[in-house]
Amino acid sequence: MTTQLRDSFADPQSREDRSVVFIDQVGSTAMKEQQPEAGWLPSLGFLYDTVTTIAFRANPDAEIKYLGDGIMISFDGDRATEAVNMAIQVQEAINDANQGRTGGKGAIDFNCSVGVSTGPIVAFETPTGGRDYVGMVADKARRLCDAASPKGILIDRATAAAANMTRIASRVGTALGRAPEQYQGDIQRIPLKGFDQPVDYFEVFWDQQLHGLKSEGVTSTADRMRTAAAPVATQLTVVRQAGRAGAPEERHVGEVTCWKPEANFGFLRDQRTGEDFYFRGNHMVYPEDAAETLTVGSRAAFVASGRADTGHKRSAVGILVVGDYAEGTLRLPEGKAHGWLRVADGLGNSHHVFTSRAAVQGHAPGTLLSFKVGANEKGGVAEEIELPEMQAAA
Amino acid sequence: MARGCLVLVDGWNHYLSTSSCLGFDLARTFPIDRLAAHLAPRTGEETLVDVAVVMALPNRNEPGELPEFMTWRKRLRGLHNAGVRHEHAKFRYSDMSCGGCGSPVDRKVVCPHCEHVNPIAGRRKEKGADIKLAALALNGAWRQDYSTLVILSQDADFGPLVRQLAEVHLEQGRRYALYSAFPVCDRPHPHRAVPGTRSIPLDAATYAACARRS
Repeated sequence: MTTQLRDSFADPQSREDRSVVFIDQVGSTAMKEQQPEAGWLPSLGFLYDTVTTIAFRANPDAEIKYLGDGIMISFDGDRATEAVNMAIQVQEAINDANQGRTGGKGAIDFNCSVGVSTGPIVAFETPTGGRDYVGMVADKARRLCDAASPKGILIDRATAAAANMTRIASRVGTALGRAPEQYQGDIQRIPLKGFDQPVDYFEVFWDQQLHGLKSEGVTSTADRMRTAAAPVATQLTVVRQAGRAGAPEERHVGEVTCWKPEANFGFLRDQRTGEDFYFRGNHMVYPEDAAETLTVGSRAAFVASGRADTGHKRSAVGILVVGDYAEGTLRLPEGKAHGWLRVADGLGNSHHVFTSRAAVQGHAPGTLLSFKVGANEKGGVAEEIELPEMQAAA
Repeated sequence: MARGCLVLVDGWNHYLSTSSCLGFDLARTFPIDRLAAHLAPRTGEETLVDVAVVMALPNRNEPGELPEFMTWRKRLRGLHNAGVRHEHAKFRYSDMSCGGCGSPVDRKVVCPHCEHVNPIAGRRKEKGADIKLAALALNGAWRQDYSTLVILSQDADFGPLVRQLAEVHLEQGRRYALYSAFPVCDRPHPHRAVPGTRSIPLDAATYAACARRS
């Protein structure tokens, strides 16, 4: 068994991008000491049931691990938005259950803290047949959760970059007319156990106030945050260009919902997030083919450009029509099981199309390769990769 | 006023005449980028202003056209990376039908002696390529984008265009040179330049050199 797990860990395929949510019942040990089992056990049951229901509602593919008084939920890396919204909904459900109808005590009497982290993690099958994850991302989610005050939700920088923060919402925020960007607090730093460098994080402003950290003074601006009525919009860092950890840009796949060749512009909708993107003909990698290849309903792989918090639609650039051919330059990041084929549109915006290492074996980085544009839910994928006809013929 | 050479390629005309003259299938290699680089110094110009291929691609939705479409698409992608623009024209497809009853008729004639299947040409016809090429040439002339034009075609329909270009250049009072390039071979079929242009014959060795990549 040990050998099998060791093999699993060594397998490059076991590395996945995941968003890990860690939820911890605050003060559970004291509760167990002070209350009889009949007192604390229903509370734990309520926590388990609530988290399980909300997590599966947010994403049926979520994987849940119960760890005593804590719960670890793992989402696919491009489901960071759902992960953050799930954390908010869990806090709201616990908050509701803590309050009685007439303002007295509710059905339960405890609070939770939540940490969310996103990035590459090692996935493996356990000897008992389950699926589990180990790695720095899980550790960071756990440490952020430990650092957060009761009711607090802390997310790391990678989660903030991967999540579509315009789609984050809470009941209180909606009632108060909070703008999407106001759900993300100022960037903060905190030294976490086991991490050499202080870790950047944001607090999610889901409630009427920010809840901050358990131990005061660990961040320079924690006090200011705690008393702030609302975070200042201009300080929010919605890093859209950086994209997901590991990917050079924020890649999307969408469908053309509008295309006006005479005016040379149109719109693409990402089917997964529902976000609409504006594009012009010269945002295509092959703009001369726009009139021929683009029609309403065409699928396209593209890169998002612009900021999500300006109130305007972001632009789709580096557009490639799915099913068509393209030529791109091979890039092979070190230590990764994948590579990228780089293309650029007429304005110089680059688009890195995903390829597995196996598909480009024998080709050196920098080689120009012909490929068919395919797509998965994360973005463009190169298929039928080969040397361009001219070079192959030579 | 820009000095340099503009190369415009009447894609299908040039491709078909090269195939029939030189006998090899160029669709996969179609070395327009290298050919243009070869032609500019032959006209005495040091720079290439622009290279554009005007041609229709087979309609991938028509029966049997997809493989040919894909071959050309890949090649034009390669040319795009080499700085050659593709200007689109369109194919019009028409089926043959019986003049009496209107039933569809197969476009193949089987020889009663040797049973060889002879396809009848004309199922598809390129539309809009000539006028697009003419528009590019005239636009460039009015904007004074080039001083030398090379048309890769043998189509005599470009005669009026060449006369018009000469008038534009004369009106602007500047030096101009108009060339047409086309493949040549030993066989007795016509090898002719576009009327009013100086000819640049392209032999098999030139093509082979251009198609050969280091």
